Amino acid sequence: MLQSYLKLAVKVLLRRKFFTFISLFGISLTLLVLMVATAMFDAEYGPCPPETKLDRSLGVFRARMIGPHSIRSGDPGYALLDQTVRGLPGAEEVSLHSSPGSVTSYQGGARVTSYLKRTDGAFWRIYEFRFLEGGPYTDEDEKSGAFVAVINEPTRRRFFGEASAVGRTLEADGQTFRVVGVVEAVPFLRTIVFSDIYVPITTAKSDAYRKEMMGGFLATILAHGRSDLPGIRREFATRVTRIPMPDPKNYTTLQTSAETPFESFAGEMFDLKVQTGRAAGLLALIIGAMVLFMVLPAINLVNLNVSRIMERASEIGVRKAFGASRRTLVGQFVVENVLLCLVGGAIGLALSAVALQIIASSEIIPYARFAPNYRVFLYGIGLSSLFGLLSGVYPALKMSRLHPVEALRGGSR
Amino acid sequence: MIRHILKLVWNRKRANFLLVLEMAISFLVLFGVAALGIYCYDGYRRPLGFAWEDVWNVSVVAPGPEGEWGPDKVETVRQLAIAVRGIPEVEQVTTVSAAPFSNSHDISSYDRPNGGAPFEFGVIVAGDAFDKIMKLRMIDGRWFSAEDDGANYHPKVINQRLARELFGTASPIGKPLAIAADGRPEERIVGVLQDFRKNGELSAPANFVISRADPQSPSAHASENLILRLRPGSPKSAEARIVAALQATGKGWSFEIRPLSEMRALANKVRLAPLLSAGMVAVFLILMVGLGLTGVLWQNVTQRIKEIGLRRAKGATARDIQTQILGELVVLASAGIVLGGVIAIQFPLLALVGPISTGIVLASLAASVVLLYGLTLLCGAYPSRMASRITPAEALHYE
Repeated sequence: MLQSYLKLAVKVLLRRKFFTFISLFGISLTLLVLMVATAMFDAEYGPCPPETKLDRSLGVFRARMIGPHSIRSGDPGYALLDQTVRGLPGAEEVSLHSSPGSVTSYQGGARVTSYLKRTDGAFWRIYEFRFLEGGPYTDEDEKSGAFVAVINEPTRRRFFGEASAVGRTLEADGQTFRVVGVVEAVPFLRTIVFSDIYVPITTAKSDAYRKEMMGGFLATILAHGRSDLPGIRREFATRVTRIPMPDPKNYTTLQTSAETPFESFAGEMFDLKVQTGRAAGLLALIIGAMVLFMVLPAINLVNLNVSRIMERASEIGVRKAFGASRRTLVGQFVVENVLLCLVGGAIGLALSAVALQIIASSEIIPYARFAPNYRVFLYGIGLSSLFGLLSGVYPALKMSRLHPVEALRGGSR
Repeated sequence: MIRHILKLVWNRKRANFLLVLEMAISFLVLFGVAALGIYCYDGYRRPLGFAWEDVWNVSVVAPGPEGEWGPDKVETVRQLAIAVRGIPEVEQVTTVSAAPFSNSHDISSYDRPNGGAPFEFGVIVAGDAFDKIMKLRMIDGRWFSAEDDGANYHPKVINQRLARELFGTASPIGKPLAIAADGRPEERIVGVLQDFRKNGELSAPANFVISRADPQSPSAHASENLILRLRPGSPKSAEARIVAALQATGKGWSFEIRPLSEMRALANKVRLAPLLSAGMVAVFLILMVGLGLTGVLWQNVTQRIKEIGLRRAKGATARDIQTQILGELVVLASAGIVLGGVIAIQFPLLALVGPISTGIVLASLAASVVLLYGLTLLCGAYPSRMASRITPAEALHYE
């Protein structure tokens, strides 16, 4: 059955090439835009190296201190994280690391600006960076305040050309580090792990950060398994309530939570008052926007399909005369339309690979890497089918309503 | 004639409804793009109010906890400025709380001194040499200077936009921005700038206030950046010498030096990228609608051969037929424009778009009307010519 539908669909597509072209053009461009958007979303939130254990990790990315007159929000500080994330039950590893800050170096008189991130040793165990040479620094390096650094590949190129960097020294912001490892660059969009230069936390110019409740740090908590995550969230929340406020006159409450990067993003998008279901809400909003974006192309396709009903009049008449039910006919036309959309989706997918390549090479987003992956491909198929249903149902209903006698005669209006 | 066309359109209302809907949504897309484009162009051609060429910014991070600055740190910042000043290529240097084109924004909101709704403005705190470094253009009053030392008020320089908003055509010089209260001295307006668009050419027009950094006790916030003007044609090597001088003076401090030209390019790129991608998506959508519309019209013409043939047989000229097809199209487009326009006008009415002025809304409505009619007529051109070529003989023996 499906086979003969498909055969028919191909024949119809080849019959009027101009119309097929118009339909495919619209479908593929629509899906191109949506797929570029999903690929970028995936590049930011999907699991990709070095963040391979996203499914069983949580982070502390934001904190907020609330007082009667003022609100301070931003990255949590080292002291806050140090008091809350250490030794959480169910956690395999916990890492504290700073938000990347930009630093200036001079390389033969020319200024080089790089991002520098300070991390502990656990950072390298949680995140699976691909080392091109050397290796990470260890917990001991971090404890002793060794001036060692892991750099990414573009930084190696900027400082040392094509030569090996391990064992050589590099100056950044007036400090000198010995390079111990070189990693493959992480896209800028992966804000949690992105940096050019990674050095131990203890190499900071002063140790004032140890007392700060707010500012400059993030934590990553890796659980043994997914089932430990709810327990970790709860325990973290109770620990937060127990922290004494450093400045109770100005700030009385502390708000922070162990969450996923997407939840953190959703938290920033929504109002303070919305406390629960933010991530789900944001996801619904994004999907809603996508469907809205598809409305115009869908109406366009509906119009094209409706205006072409008469082309198929005799076929419909014959089928009806021989007893095909309306449901069968609707099914057939929807299948046809979905097939058309899948073909358009395939073209859109190919185009989006090209478009992403262009976006990546334009360097608007440093070290962007939009490898087409199976997740984006699945999104693409899903989007194409949704689009096909959206634009196929109305014309199909209309076609199936044709009266057999009129249809056989060639149809009036 | 017009009544005829209206009747023809009405007779096919079911099929035409979807076309009208499509045109209405296209109209909304065109309206959005036109509003965005006109808004940005309008902002771009307004003066920036300062010169960024040959100006460099050094962001300064002191060691230790932020927010608590003792006299030692204040002294260090003074020393840093002196050290930079000693480099021959440096013309002027001073402190500023946030660099032009930077991501750091301070927004304040004050109650009006003469009552009424509170007003909002962006603010930076700058040293006395800031006007010469940025080549600011005063249009009224004066820039603040040593003559304000020891005064019983805080001197403020505001931009023309804020001056108009607060005082209309009257001169704001000598008037208070905020009256003395809670032991704080009066904030007095001493000068009006043509403008100071800190966030660059593509940013929205906004109120702005420049506050004087107190030379006696500058705050930590006011000293977050050193801004300096180099003599024109300075060699690149000056930069490394500036940093060396800074690092030698401020042990344990961090510095990041960048030319404003670079910061401007980055800020504009960041603002332009979403605009360009939105524009590209809109062009795709419109192109698609255009092709789709052509297809639908073509198909309609082939379905109406009998009708058109009959008209030709009764003496209508090819021109009449073309007018009829295009006339129907214009009616449909007008319906779409009315429907889309009713929706589009809700955005400024409900103040969903923020700072877009009525003038821009009207201009973009006009532009999108012209564009939509242009688009539909372009799409109708070929199908209507095709219709006009139908001969009565061919049409009448159609069946």
